[in-house]
Amino acid sequence: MRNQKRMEYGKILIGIFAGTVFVFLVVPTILSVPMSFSDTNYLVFPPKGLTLKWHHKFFTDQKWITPTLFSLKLASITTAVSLIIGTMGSLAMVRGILPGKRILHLFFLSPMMTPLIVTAFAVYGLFAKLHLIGTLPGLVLAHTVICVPYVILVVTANLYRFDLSMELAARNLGASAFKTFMHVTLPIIKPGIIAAGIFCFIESLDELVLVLFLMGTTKMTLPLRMFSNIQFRINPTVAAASTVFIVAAIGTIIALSFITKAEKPRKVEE
Amino acid sequence: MSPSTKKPILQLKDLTKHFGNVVAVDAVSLDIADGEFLTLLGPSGSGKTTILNMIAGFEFPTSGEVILQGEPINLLLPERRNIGMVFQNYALFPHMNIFDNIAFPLRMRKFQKGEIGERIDNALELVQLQGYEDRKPQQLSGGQQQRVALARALVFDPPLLLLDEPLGALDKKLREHMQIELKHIHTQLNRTMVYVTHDQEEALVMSNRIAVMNRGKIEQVGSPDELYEKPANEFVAGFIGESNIIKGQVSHKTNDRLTFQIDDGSELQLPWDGDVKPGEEMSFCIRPEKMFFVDVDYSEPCLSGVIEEVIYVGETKRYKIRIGRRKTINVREMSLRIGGGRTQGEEVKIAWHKESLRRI
Repeated sequence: MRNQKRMEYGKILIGIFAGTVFVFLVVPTILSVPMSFSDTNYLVFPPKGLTLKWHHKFFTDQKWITPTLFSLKLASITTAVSLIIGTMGSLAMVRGILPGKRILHLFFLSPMMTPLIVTAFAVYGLFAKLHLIGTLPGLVLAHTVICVPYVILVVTANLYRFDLSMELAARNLGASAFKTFMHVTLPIIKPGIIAAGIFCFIESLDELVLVLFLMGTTKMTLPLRMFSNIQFRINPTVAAASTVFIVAAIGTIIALSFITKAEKPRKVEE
Repeated sequence: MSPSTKKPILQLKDLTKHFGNVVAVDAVSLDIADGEFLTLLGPSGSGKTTILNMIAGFEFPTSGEVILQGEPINLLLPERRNIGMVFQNYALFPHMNIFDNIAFPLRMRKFQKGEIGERIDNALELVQLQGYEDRKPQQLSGGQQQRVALARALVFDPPLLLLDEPLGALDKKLREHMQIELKHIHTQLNRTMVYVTHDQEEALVMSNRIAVMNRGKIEQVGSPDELYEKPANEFVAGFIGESNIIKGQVSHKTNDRLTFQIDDGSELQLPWDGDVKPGEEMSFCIRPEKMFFVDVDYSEPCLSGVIEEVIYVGETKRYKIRIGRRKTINVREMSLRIGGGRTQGEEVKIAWHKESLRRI
């Protein structure tokens, strides 16, 4: 009896705790949506009036469009490069006969555990010498360093779960090692690769610390544009930009859940 | 089928595989005849799967040779060997439907579209799964998945089919059903099959010949009845069916009987007219169902003992009978009459037909 009561109190406490976390994490994010509709020249909540002019500005003003397109380009190239390097690295670490595989694995994951500011500082010195500051290849390189660990983490997990007899069967049925990879291994680990790709894309798209160090003065990414907007004149365009981000993120999450659902058909009982 | 009269399709010559210090397969030589159903039978770790992997090309032999249709294939990549294989866990490709799974070996061999369709129809008919082309493997039951795996391994007409415990994951009823079905497919196609299992009953039901393996070596090769009736050694006698092993030292011998001292110190009299000298160590083996109870005034040499335990198994009763100080043997008797049989504590005499007692 008493235990049951205690359990109920526990449940209530956990509920309150979860609710608090939700409010502090999610509500500020969601608040930017109504704020972007405010008909004022400054950010205000609750919004005053109703207008789409900030969204219109975001999608028409070159000051916003150029950085957005640049960010999308950067994120796309970073994702492609990270996926290729990360998948190949994962294969080497799961399947390869390498001395010190575990240490290598940890080494590959280390950028994830290093504070971003430290990486940024280290990369800045090197890139300054190599004249990579403010260039697209330089940013792709820097973002790849922080994205590859995500790919390694997800793809190695997929490969460890992979049933090797499927590859043996493919070889036995007449497929070369390369064809086996293309027709059997790759399609089976594809959901993992897609998930890793989405991580990479979002990571590169909203990364600011490395960009602040390496951007130079000529170009801008979207987060950098938003950051300077907040610093100099806070108008609701930044909220409109955030809204676009939120919608895009929710869209990808929904897409992701559909992909994973499609890959796992319902199991039938004997 | 006598294997010596047919030319071998597959030959293993002194095949050896070491994993580090462990000798997984130890100088195994075996000829497998064209059209034969040969089973590698042994406990886990006896090297039977390693042999199969070396035939398929997944493992490279430490020494020795695999010869397929007269050609050594040691150096051939698995995809060049043209050998069919069925895996224990089916190994169907989860991202392809049944049609694409079975089409895989044909597409790798660049078959024309029309012929692919025709062959898949035939293969699905063989395993009685017509109409399942569009399903995904996960939507099929274990038995159905195993049939698809079989169709996929046969669709490109390989001269040899390897089966690695293909029924291991199925429940008993389905397993027995699939055994018969596989046997029918073997008869129908007359394809050479090498089958790996640890299930002695499965091996007896399906095989033309069985190679019993233990610790990387072949203990005995022979037809199911040869192995059952004439086991070459204690391992085979114990692994295939149930056996009573009686070990001891000859104390003296007359014309047709042997006085024999067993390990617990007691002396037994056995009917035996073979050539032995006093002091010689001997082992005998006799199957529980080959012994029967005789009247107490039976005058021929036989064993006497006391029933220690009666186990009711349905169609038979199993008696555990103490014949020495501690030594017990098992005797199986058909339950001919309801309520018949003997009871615990009863003193009995047991005899057998002379040829049933085998020296091993």
